[in-house]
Amino acid sequence: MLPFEVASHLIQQIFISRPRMKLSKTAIQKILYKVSVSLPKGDKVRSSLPYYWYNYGPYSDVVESAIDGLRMNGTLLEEETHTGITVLMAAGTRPEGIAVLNDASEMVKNVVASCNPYRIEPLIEEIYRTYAPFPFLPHYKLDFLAPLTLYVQRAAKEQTTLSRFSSDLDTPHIDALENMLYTCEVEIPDDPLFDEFTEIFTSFVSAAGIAFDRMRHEDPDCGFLAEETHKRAEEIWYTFTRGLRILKEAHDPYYDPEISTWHILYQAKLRELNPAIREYTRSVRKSTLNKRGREPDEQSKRILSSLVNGYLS
Amino acid sequence: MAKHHFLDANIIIGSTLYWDRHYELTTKYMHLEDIGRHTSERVYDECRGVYGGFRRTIISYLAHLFRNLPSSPNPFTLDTTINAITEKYLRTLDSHRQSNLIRSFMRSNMEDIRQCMLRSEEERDQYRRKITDTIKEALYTLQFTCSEDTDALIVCYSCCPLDYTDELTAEKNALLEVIQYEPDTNVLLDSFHIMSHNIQSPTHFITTDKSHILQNATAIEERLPGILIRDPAFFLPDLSPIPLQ
Repeated sequence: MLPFEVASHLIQQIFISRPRMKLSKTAIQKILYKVSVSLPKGDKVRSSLPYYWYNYGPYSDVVESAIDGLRMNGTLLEEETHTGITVLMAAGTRPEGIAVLNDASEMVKNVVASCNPYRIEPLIEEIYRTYAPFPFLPHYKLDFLAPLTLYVQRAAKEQTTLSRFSSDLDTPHIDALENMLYTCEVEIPDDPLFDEFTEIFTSFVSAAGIAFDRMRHEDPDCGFLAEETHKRAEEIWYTFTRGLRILKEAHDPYYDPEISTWHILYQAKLRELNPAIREYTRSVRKSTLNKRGREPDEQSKRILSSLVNGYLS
Repeated sequence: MAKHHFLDANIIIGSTLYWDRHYELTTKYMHLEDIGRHTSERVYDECRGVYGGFRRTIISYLAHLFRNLPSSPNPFTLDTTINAITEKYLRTLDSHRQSNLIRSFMRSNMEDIRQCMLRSEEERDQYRRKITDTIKEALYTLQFTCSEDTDALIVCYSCCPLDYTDELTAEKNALLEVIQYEPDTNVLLDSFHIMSHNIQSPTHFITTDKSHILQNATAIEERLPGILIRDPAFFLPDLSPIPLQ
């Protein structure tokens, strides 16, 4: 069977498991990813569901094409929710059973039963934390970018204070955001592909640390700095994922022919990111021009001396 | 004598340690008066990159130590354990600079590292935070010291070209033949650009870089008229200059 046919059949199995269910494309992609990784390595059905890690987690061109095919032949119907999200539902036709796909079909039922298709976030989180090829992915996407997004959204609505720790667990804590950024800085994949990215990311982290201080102390312009930090953090993520998918750990062999194109797209994104981060560091610098560093205590002197000595030796 | 000086990154970074007597040369130089000090945004970014690199290298090293330390380390053999884990880690690094940094850090901060390894995760996080805060304060000092404000200790110019493909190309090619290292070539061109457009008088280029710049001083000065290559000891006759190999 062709991958397209396998994917089409399994997508229909999702809707057989829960009739009248409405799902986004993202949900379908993630459910089939979970099915794929639950099958043994080397399994023919697994190799018919090839994935690569990209902007919103694991993504499959084959699954995407299958969804579009089912939509165009009327097997799946599309509608828009009141929040503007496009969802798909079964038109009612049931496919014939295919013996070779019985195990995978059973897996589909199990995955659909174990998750809430209307709240796919826990499944996405599970996928990131269990299957991401590098720890940078869940830490940056889930533990830094998501809380930062929430923080900026709430700050825009003036629903959060910009200062200290809140007992409201949904309120991003600036210290935690900054610490997570330092964690992410040392988790970038150790591959020459990311050498330039690492330098740009380090520049961002240095500036963001100072921006967080402004936000922490509710200085003027901190709202603007929060938005700028968030905007650049997203650009960093979209640049990272363009490079990530090139690595063999982050794509199935089905996508090997795409590598040279992906390289070109990644380099182009890096060329855009560099001046963007430079501009960001200039904004942060302008807003903190008059702040002088504190006089270092003995421990800080020891730390700095050892580093500068090591660098200049 | 030219009263305007363009500072290379090693001078600015060395003068971070104004309290450290080993860096008498750069710190005493920075205390000399009646000198207009200048630098370029490229040099400023290089300094930021160095401090950021410190943070990344040391936090990565500490994360490796924390991951590989036994769950209940023997306090009597802890130093041996730390040294063994460190040596194994250093063998995985490609960069000599990173290795030097970690060795230097370990030598000077062994007591703090040792205490950290024996304590709780929260206390290890606090030590990690101490390091990131120290680097951040150094970044604030850098930012305060180098700015576009004409009253700043070091005036920092953002007017230099990003690369010299359209401007000073002849000078760039001539310098590359001598120095054979593009980053240093671009910094020298920055000094020439700032001298020509902003300072408009002969300018000393101050550096401790022996291998690319100091030992090619004459050739550089021939190619960039008005730029005078100097190490900081030139202005401090009581102290020894940096020996050329």
